Amino acid sequence: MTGDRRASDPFFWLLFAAGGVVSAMLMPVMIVLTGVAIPVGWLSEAGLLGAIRHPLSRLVLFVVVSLSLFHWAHRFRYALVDLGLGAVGRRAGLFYGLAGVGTVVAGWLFVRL
Amino acid sequence: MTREYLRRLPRNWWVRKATYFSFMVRELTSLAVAAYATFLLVLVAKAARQDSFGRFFEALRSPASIVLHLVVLALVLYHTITWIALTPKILVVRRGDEQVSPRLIAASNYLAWAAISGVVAWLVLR
Repeated sequence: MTGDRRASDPFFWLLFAAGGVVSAMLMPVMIVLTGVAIPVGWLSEAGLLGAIRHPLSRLVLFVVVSLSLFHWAHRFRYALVDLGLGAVGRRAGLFYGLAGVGTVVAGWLFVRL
Repeated sequence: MTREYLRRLPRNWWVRKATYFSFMVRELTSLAVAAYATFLLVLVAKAARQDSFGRFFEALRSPASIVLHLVVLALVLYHTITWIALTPKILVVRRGDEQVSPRLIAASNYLAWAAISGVVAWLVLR
């Protein structure tokens, strides 16, 4: 990969790092909430809706979704290179573009709520 | 004229040693992170439509949902634990010749994770 360094690399690395922190800190508890608390009965439908609709949650969810997608894009891209699938991994636009699309969709959804 | 000898890396380099394998698993946890992020998008999309949210909520109580969540949880936990374990490498606090203990840095971050999780759980469940 040493041949194709670009000026945009640090920017995407920063998004990867931020996404790593945000997903590391917030995702486990969220997974337990949607995956365990709901079936067990600790979180009702009204409770969940109320939690999602709160303006602060909307902002937090947007940040978590967007940064997590950019975290995946960067990390998975380089993992593909390590797995010998560099031809796919080197297509930066494919991965960051997907994350960008997810971010736009998230933004639209969260504003619409 | 001499040329540099470039040894080709075998494609299965990462299955040959446990540490290499753990590294690859760690990197691939990013897929679980992306998967749950996508689920969150679906959750919010469903939350916007009052009438059909009930069915989606019921689906979240199904065994399939629980199993999927637990698999993703295991992978995301691996991401969290390995990520925080690396914080001492980034946060190097020196005092003269000495360094703040790496274990202290990691422990503080794990504590912060526990506190943040507790606050989020309390805010949502109350």
